[in-house]
Amino acid sequence: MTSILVVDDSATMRRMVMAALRGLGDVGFHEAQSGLEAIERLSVEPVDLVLLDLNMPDMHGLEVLRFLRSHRAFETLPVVVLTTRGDEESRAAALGEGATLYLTKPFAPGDLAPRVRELLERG
Amino acid sequence: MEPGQFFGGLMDDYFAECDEHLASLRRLLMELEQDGVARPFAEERVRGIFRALHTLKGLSGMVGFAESEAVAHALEEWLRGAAPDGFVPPGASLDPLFEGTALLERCLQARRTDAAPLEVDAFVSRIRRAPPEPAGAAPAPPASGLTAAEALRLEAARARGDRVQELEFVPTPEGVARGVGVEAVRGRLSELGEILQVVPRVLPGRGVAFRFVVALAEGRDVPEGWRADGLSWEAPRAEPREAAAPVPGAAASNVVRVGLPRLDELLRMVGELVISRSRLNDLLRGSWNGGAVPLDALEEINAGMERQLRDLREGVMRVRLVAVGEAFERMRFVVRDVAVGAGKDVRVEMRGQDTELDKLVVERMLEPLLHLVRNAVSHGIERPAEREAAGKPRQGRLLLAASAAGERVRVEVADDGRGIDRDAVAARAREQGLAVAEAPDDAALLEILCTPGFSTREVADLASGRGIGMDVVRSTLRALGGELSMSTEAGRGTRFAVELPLTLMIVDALLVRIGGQTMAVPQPALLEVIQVEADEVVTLENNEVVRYRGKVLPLLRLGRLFALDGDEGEARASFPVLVVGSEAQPTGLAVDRLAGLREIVVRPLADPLVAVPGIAAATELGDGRVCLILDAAELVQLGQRMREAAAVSGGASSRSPAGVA
Repeated sequence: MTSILVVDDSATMRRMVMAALRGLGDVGFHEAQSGLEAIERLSVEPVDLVLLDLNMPDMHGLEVLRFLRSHRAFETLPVVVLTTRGDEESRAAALGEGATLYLTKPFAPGDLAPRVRELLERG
Repeated sequence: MEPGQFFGGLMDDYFAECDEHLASLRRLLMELEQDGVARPFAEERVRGIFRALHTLKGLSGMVGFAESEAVAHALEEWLRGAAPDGFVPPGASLDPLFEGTALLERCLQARRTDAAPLEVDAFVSRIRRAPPEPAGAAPAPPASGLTAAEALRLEAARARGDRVQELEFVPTPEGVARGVGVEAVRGRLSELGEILQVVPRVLPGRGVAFRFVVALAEGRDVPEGWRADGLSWEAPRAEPREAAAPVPGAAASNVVRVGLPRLDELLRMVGELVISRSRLNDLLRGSWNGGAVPLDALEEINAGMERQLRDLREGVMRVRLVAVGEAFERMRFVVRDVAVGAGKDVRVEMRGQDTELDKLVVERMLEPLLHLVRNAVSHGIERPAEREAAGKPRQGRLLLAASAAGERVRVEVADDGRGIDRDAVAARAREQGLAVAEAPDDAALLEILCTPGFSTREVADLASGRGIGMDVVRSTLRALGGELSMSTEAGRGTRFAVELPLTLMIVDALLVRIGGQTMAVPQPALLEVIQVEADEVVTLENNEVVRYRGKVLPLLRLGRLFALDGDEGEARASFPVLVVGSEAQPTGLAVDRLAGLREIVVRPLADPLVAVPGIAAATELGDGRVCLILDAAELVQLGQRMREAAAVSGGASSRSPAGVA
């Protein structure tokens, strides 16, 4: 089974993201409400792909990303950065820190799943 | 497909989460305005505002609410322009944020009620600035070391003599599975002291460790037992100094949270019930084996379980308690709004924000409280010039206070304004034909103000506006089981106090009329309400019955049961019957008339002297009348016993039915 970690401080947003990915089939979701929790999850559970929000309290998504890329175990882990419209400036920063894909919210529910599927198949 | 439809099942979550973000926006804005934008914690607050707006924007975009998204976006951009590096320059006005937050709230309200989306273009283009400065778009994450805010906190901690302790936490799958994760550790540590920093560290394999830097007040140590959970730290270096007052940290968001101790307490109560049940089980097993069941042992278990259930019920009620602080924060917002509009300068003081009340009471009390606060600001407190002429400070003062006393909570709204003009109110009341004492005291004055229809705008000015809608304020509070009182002094101010019950239970109930009395039957107890023709009633062995769904429905005439005079129903050609009890063994309660469905607050009758079989509790209707709540289950039993008694005595019993109990 494919395992996907959804990181967002908004519980509703996490549920929306998971709802949009329902069509992927045999996927198990893990949730993290903070950057720290995301890092913890990754260290204790095998995860195939991360969907990462940027604007979170305490630990910014870019910090999470930077940490993951500095850790040998997570160097090549696919990380999809999801940010909210208006943050386009952070695209360069996110890609610079090693984001695999950069998507802007709101996404049409039908758009996210194919992109994620593509990444999973490629990995 | 519309995103809004796609996420249809998530709309409740959406609105609930938006409410939380709006609440924290309001709180942060007030704090920012009150404490000033240049203070050490301002940066954190600005960041909190950014985050709340950002999340509101993101969520609203997902569900396709373009206007909410646009407002949140515009506000974010505005703030970004006003605070390029996270600091709002001193003297900058936060008005657009206040205005925008209120607008956002209205946008969401419109959506929630399925009204047409609000028009927001005017607001958005008004606050849009000349090209937003490109620099420092989002608050940039720090590369390493301490951020400015972290450094400030460290400094503040050192200044007040805290010990700075470093700890490391290594999560394990087993630990995470049983809830000992990094957020739980952070929660524990933040109760112990102030967390200055948390950073992850790379370990071999997939491993990570989290380094916490915590400021601990004198005498606080990390419990040794926490080492078992994967926490490690070095023994503290002793450098105690005098501790100063704690610095207010960033408050948590306003969700109903339940402290672990409260849940543990509930679990303990459930444990006791389990023990009682197993004792019961043992007794039963004994009786299967031919032994006699000792009645006194059963009685004892029964009494024990009754007490345990009562404790459990109380415990669950306590879980519903929330601090009144958030309601007070909202008032601050209102005060600001009204004061700006009326040219007043008002300082809000709060006391007892941590006082806890049932969440429902807090919610319902909001409207009346709002009313009192609005009146105090718009009519009670004078304009600065007028205050100065009266020898008072230019700035008016509004106090919001809460305090707990036993099972009641007292909430007060006090102003230092001009007070209520007794003579003017009394004169006006006489004009309107009310009987008024020569010099009405505070209670009499309140009575006049709460007379429905008493106030007029003209009086409002005379009476410092206290009259407006006061009848509604009082009836709303009464329906909550609260009582309103007031004291006022000319030139010194007015104080309203509300006494509210700590917890309350609200049920939907059917109001019925029985012998001139109104009584309530909780709706969950009702199976059905039927209309019965008088000639359908058959008397069987001294019991009245009617045919009901191919069976016989025993009829209980409540008017007779409670020996109420003027039982008009007896003579009626047809009357309503409430079917209660179980489907298998229903009982019909005959009443005179139905008086409508109503939400009522259940107030237990604690006094054993007023305990009557068949009466569960009482409630107060909006007009102040007391109404008894019927205990359907007990009435069914009562009916059963009456039938049995009648059967035993061969139908010769002429005792009063109520006397059977």
